[in-house]
Amino acid sequence: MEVKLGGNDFFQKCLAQAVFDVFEMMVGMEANHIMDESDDQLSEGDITGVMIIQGDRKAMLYLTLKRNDAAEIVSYMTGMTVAEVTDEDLYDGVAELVNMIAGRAKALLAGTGDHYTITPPFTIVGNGHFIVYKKEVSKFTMKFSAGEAKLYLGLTYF
Amino acid sequence: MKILSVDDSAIIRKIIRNGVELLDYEFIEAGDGQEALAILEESYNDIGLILLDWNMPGMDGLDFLQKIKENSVMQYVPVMMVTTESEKENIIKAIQAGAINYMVKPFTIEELTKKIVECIGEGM
Repeated sequence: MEVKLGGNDFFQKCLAQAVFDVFEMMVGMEANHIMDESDDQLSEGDITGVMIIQGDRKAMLYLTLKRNDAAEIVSYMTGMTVAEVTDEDLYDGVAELVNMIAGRAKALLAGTGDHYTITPPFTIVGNGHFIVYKKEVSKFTMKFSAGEAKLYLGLTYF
Repeated sequence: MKILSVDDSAIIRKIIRNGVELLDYEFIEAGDGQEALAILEESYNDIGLILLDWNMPGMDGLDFLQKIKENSVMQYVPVMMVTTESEKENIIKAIQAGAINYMVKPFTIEELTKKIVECIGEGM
């Protein structure tokens, strides 16, 4: 089956599975997809990890969290207490999460004919920032919970 | 015996440290290939295993691996790749360059410790 980047259920399922796998293996928490909200929801958070995807299509994958939620997740990942987690740890941790989600999704897509490369991850920081797209850009957003934490995973592409 | 983690992410190094210390090995770390080379030049005799990321700024994991395999003394230090790169061609490339094992991120701490034990057994 030929899988095109974005715009289909299979790719979205691979990304959701990648979130589940990364949280289960690297964080030790179960992530759940919150299905009852619109895919067009606006992502709001304090820290966003981003990766650019290049292939037949060009895309941006991001993971947005509130600072407190990111601290809880990084604490689970590393065994540090929330109080021990520094800002640098938060930025690095969120970037690594999106890096591993993209890498895992790429592995899940192996053999589908969909090839792409990914850039190094980077982090955007700012209290209560929003991710806003141009109207004509294709996109989807998925909201997940992990423990008390809420996170948004989004993909925009053209 | 020391285990050297080479990864540009401090969080990943911390996770790996947790696994290495569970096995009672001494943990040392480097944020890129250049820093790792400097550590190796000083103390290659004490290092029983290198856990090596692929995508790092500056000297990447594959360049670092090729560099140490060209060195008459450092070439004997076993290397396991620990990376998000999961494509078969890349795994083959790393093994051909001299890596003795390969682990794709994400991983569990159990997988990490099991692979370390396997590598240290093979490296001895």
